[in-house]
Amino acid sequence: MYTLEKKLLEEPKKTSFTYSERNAHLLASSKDLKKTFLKTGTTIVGMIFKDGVVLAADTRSTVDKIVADKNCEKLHFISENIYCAGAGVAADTEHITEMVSSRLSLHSLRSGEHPRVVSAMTMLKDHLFKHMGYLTAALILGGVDATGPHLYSVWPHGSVDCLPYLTMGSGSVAAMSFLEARYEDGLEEEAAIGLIGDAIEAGILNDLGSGSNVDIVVIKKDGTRMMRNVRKTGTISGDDE
Amino acid sequence: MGEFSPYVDNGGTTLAIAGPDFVVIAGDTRLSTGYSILSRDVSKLFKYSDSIVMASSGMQADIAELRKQLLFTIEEYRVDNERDIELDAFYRLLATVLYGKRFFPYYSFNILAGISKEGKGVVYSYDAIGSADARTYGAAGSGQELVISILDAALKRKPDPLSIDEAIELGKSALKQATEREIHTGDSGEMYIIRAGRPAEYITFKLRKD
Amino acid sequence: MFLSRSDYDRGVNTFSPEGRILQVEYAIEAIKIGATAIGIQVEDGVVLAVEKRISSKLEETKIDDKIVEIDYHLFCTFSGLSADARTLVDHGRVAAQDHRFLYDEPVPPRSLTQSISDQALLFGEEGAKRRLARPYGVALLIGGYDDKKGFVLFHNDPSGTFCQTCARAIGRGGDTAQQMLTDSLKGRLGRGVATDEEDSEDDDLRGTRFRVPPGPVTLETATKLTVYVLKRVMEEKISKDNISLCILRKKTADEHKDAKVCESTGERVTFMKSDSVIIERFDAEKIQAIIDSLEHGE
Repeated sequence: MYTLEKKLLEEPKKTSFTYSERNAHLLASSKDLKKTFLKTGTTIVGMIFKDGVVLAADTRSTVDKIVADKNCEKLHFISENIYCAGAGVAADTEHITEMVSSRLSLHSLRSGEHPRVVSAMTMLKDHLFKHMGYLTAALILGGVDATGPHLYSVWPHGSVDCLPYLTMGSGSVAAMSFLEARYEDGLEEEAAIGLIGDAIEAGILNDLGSGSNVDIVVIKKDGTRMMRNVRKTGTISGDDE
Repeated sequence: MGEFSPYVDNGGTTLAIAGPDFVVIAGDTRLSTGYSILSRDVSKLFKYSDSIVMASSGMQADIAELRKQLLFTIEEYRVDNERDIELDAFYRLLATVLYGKRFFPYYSFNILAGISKEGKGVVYSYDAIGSADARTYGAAGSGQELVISILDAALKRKPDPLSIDEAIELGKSALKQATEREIHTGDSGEMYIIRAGRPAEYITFKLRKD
Repeated sequence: MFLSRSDYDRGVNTFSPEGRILQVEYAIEAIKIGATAIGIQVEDGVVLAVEKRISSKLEETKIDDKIVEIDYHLFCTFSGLSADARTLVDHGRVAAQDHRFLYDEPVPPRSLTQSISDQALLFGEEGAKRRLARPYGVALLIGGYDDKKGFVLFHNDPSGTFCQTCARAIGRGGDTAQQMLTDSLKGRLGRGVATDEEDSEDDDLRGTRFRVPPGPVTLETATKLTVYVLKRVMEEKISKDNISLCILRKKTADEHKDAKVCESTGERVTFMKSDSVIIERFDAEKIQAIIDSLEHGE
């Protein structure tokens, strides 16, 4: 049977100006280029606790097997009450979150209220779904709005999970082992920060795609606290990177 | 008829090093494909203003188009806003322009060097689709891995602040060493030295021609 | 040629033999029956004040949508048709956000005003791109902060013309109010210093002059002046419920700290937080306090 997927899987023989074929061809003929995109191999974690939401990430970004940035930021600002942790192609996560941030500013300018986490989630998944998985962005979105704390994971094809604790990226399995063992409902802030830090450390130490430091952002009803490099797990004591 | 391939890698290495109130940015001038040299004298550096210089390696045709696009946009910025674009805005502009071609990227690897609003030297390094961040030094192109290791070793644990003469020498020597071990890098080197509040100074130096 | 002169009234694409686009001029008339709005720009900020007309005792007065934010460093008030103003403001907000997205910096207020004025010209009788079949019946006062030029105030009207000014009044009481502003600020703001022509006694006799304390005009004085002028020109008695008041000023050290909830060890600041200015909206109590202070002063 002739299907589009089958056609895309075959190496195109010549350049076609049908978009799907052209894209498949360009993809196939630019393998070297794809290797040079900055990727964030990444461990990212999100968790709901007693007073809000906490997100965390490692700080390594890679090009293939080379470390491109030892102290990058994967916790992206969406609005004062919403942050988003990103894994995947760095340009995609950065650009998409910036775009949503921009559009939500307009939203809150009109409504005069803090934006809602569902709005951000809907914009992200619509955008990713529209691009059929070609945008490599795996995101954990968390925030506190008028309706309380919310936590979502958004996958590159545009699907969404809503759970009290989530991990994503190449180090997600390592991180999840900590959460499955120690997560419970209504965790105190201190305990939540401790647990999420341990989960990211598990990724940094056991997943080669993740490394360097731990970044944490705590979002509560009364304010947001961004804590950069709270643990310098990957480095020999005292170094920044 | 061979299959159409949209990209060619013309090789070449670039680097930039920032200091407290200055920044140097350098590149070689060889243009090559495979084992052939197309030209020994094609610049990888492009000066957009007295305090903004960009170094690009990758595919020469895409780089030329990218430069044209940026020149057009900064002229538009100048006319619309009645002021010259500053480094901080240019950094974001380049990221946005590159991401604009997310699904058919410019095959170009860019480093941006300049003086920030606060008068500090800054280096931004980019991937082909506009992921960028600020650093104190960076390298790109065919000799990226070699150069970045040299810069890491020289600058990582440096106890005293970097002087401008040290930065110039380090930049030259890193390019020379890359030329020794990387075939697409060579012929001659060029460098812009940008000091806060002064027009960029331009120098050239010799590299191996083999 | 139309047969009758009055035919030139109708179209927005035909000049009258006197060289006028009458519909645009009529749109400017629409502003002269609108609420009075005042803007003053001084060294340390911009103040915007506007009359809120309440048509019924049942109307909710707490909603404050006559002075609106365009971006964190830009705010705006208007006279005329408020629905038209909203369309223009929406356009301005998108333009401001576009600039931030492309250049990672706040849009210069002048460019923003230019962009809104461009939009104000997009009217006409046909064409799919035309947003409106008639000119926008609204004039805007746009206050903003510019890294290079400091605080600025712009005025634009339905003809798409805009100008920078340091004190401007528009709307129903606009002419009188503008005269009072000129009398009170003569030689103190804008171009030129006090000259011999200044006849302060006459001004005092007319009772149109607000005594501006010596030294540079402060934002506080300017704020009082707007209320003073509004009080004089409004038909209704001024009260905490029938005016809106907003200022744009530099953040205090404390506000900087509060806004930056970052405990980041890195130097990164998110774009919203890097803004050094803040728009402060005066609540009913604060407005009442200013009204009271004016009464005691007299």
